[in-house]
Amino acid sequence: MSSSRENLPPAASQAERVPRRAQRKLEAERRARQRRVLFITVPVVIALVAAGVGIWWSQRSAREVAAIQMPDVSKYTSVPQNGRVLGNPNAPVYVIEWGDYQCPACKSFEQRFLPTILEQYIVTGKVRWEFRDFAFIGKESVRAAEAAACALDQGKFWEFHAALYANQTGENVGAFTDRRLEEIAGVAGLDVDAFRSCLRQGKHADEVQQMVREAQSLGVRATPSFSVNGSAPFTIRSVSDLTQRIEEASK
Amino acid sequence: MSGRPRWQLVSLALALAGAGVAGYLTLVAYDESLLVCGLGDCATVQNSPYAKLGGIPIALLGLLMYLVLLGLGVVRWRLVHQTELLTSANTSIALAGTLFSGYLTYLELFVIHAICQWCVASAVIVTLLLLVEGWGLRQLLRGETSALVSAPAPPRQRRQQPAP
Repeated sequence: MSSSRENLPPAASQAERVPRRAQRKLEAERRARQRRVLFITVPVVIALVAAGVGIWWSQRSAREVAAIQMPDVSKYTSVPQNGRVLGNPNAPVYVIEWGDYQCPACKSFEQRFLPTILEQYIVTGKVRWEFRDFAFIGKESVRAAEAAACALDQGKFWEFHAALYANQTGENVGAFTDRRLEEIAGVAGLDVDAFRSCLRQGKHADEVQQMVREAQSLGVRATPSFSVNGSAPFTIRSVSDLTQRIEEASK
Repeated sequence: MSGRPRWQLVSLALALAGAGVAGYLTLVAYDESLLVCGLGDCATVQNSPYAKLGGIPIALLGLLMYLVLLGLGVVRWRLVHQTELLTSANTSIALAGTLFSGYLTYLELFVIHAICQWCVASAVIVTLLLLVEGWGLRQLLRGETSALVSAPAPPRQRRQQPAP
């Protein structure tokens, strides 16, 4: 009995030690859990929120880009227009540009370089400039070209032409659906009812096909392509490639 | 100190590769000299309405993300004490990047109907970064937990050894 009593204190201390160890283990686990929350849950939540905001913002941005715009077309009104042709009918140099309304390079050319060419060569009567369709990127390219021909019927080819480029949002992403083409016609100041019936009847469909086939047979493979005074079509790497040809032709 | 495991090096290499790809795409985004559209690809994805966020090219945002991942990775390489925090931050950034890249890839496949190869490369890189960082974070937290739980054991063993 007595020996067993003597053994009590160490037994008790051992019993005490076990819960202390368990307690320490529990404490460690609790801290580990807290750290997991801090280092895993918090960053995951932040990442989810950030990605969500990014996606929402992206959708909103894309909708803003898609809003119909009307560019400044005063650059075209200062020169004589004859359908697809701009400038002095007796100009010594005759330039043809083949383009596709869905082509970003054509848009870039139209907005960045054509204004300078207009000022230097077309307004001054040195160059007569014609735009022809080489609609090759897709169905919307063809539809936009047909629509431009409908605008031509109303004597507003260049206004509509500029508006098409201003509302180019990508290739075959619905930038030039019939509905959007009608909206663009609206902001470009066309008679929308006449435009709609022209487009729906496909009045200029054959004409556009014919123009594309003709360009192909002349050797047009990319846009924008140019021809100066009846030369074989060529593409440019910089705008000086074109102005040089114009200068040479006007000598 | 063995606090510089190989996964950290892999992460740095991936962030560097990602910065290279996104840097190239940023240059393309700001290059307005595109003057020819030939048959086939004509920067369809980069010219889509989804290529920018509030006027900023997404490629530039991607480049910034990779540079932050790279910067934090370098700091982590040098500051051993903040490894968990920095790994956690990198995991969070890589996760957000992966989710957004997933969304962009969805747009390419189902909305824009064109694939931009470098954009896909970036999506793959950021996903790999997430896997590496996530794995690293798991290793760090697991190592920490087992170290905490088994902490009382070693001192006792040490005390017993000199006794005999």
